[in-house]
Amino acid sequence: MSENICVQIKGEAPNEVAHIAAERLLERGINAVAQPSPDGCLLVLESENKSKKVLPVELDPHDTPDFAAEKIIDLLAENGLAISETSDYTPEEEEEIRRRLQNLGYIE
Amino acid sequence: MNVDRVLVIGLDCAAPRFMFGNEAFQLPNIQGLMERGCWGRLRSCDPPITAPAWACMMSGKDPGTLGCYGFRNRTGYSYGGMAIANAAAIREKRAWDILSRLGKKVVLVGVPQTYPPAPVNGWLVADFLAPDTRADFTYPRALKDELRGAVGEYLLDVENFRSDDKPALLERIYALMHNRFDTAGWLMKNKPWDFFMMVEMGVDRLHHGFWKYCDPGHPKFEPGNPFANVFREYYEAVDDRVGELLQLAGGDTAVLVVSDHGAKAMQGGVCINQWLAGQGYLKFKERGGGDAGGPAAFDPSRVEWAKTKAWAAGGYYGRIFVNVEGREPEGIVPAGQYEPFREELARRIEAMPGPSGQPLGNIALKPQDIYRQVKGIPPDLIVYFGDLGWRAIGSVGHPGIFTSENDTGPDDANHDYDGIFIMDDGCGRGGEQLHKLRIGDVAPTVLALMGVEPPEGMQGRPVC
Repeated sequence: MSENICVQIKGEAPNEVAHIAAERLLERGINAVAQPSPDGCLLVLESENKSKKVLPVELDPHDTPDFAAEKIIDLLAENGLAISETSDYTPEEEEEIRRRLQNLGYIE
Repeated sequence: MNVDRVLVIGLDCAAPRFMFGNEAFQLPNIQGLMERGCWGRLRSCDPPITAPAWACMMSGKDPGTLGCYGFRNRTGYSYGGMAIANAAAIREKRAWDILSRLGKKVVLVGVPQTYPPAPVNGWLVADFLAPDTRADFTYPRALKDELRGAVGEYLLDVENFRSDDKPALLERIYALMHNRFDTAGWLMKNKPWDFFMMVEMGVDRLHHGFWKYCDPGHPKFEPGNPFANVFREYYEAVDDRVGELLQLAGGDTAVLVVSDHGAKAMQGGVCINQWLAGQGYLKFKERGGGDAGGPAAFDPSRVEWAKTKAWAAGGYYGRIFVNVEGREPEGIVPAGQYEPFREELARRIEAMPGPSGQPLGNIALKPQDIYRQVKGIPPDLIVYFGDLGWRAIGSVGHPGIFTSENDTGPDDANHDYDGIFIMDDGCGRGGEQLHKLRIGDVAPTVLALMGVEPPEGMQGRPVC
């Protein structure tokens, strides 16, 4: 059974940041949920990483919630969480790009 | 010397011969930067292609380290599986990612391989790898509507590039250029920034679309043609727009003007899969492998894989893939013979005679020899036909190995190894010419200008 990883988020708007990060992780196939906690918010995710970890994060007040969430995802990757990026194309979009690259001479 | 801000103006495919030396156009704004600062030829990555060159430039890492060898890369060892290498394929941090995380405000416009847009500490308008402008091609998402209201519809790239209607094509290239500079100018005026980077793709499109009209050395050049001056006029127009950005940037801004690779006349195409077939390395199920009556795209379903040792994909450079036993589904080259076979193939490609009977001057590179690391699935050989004078043609059914026609339509130019590097960092270098610059030097330079130590793993060196 895989252990959970927790990110303890403190600072301004921790709930919003946690929700954004959870949403991004879910898009990448990683189960994550934001849970309010007494002094901030917990981002809890299931992972194959066997070592139980609590990662503290103090939010930079100059960061937008979006960018703060991105930094948390970076932190998770640095701590061993395998996060696969999605190329974000539908099959139709991929064909459009393929056609464009072919038209421009980059590929055949 | 630290500066407050850094502005990078990327001109995709801008060629040194038009910026430096005897053939240089009169470009007062860009050449003013050279005269106050420093300049030189900038050796691109291998392969010298937009993707991954801009990513290599701004990460300071080579294609092998990025695991990106072109716009499409193998996803596995099947005979057809390729994925488009957009932003998701670039896992290494680029200069703006590092600066963002240090609290610097960044703005990016049209930098290749930035779609889909990842969050930055600032604003990002992505590149032509966005499927269309209905997609979320900006960060934040709301920036898209803001831009539409301010400068109009964002143009991702030139439509209908393969058109024979050259006047209309030229208009569309100009429209793209002005749209890019309009977008950059508006962002420069209306958003706070510490690092600003834009890439203008029109120069590349112009070179590929019009080289034969402007270069007397091109095999199809005709003196007195109506497009003989389009290069000079376009570069001058770009220079005017650069001047506007320099005015907006103001003092305490280090400015770089760079390109990811250069360009040269395309002499013709080498039908590499037909060559492989003729040499016995590739076996088709039916004669020629193409439809009766003309060329056809290379179709893996028409290959007798159990009798095939290698196949290729074309483009501005050639990619050769070896059919390895235990690696590819029907591989026949024993794993223990892979290196000797690859060596044999490389030597035979390099010895290939051209139409004149003399060696064409091909260069065959092994990824393991040229990269610090080899991630992902590289081609087994990277080939520059005729030292990049000839395009790689992957389609089959051509009358011969060499063709003067491109398989995807009119294209007059191929890429070249050297782009440009021009920098005015306010240090008063007085026109210093720099040598042996490499594309991986740009990211460390940008970081150093902003007082940031380039992180471990960056393969270039700061030039400031």
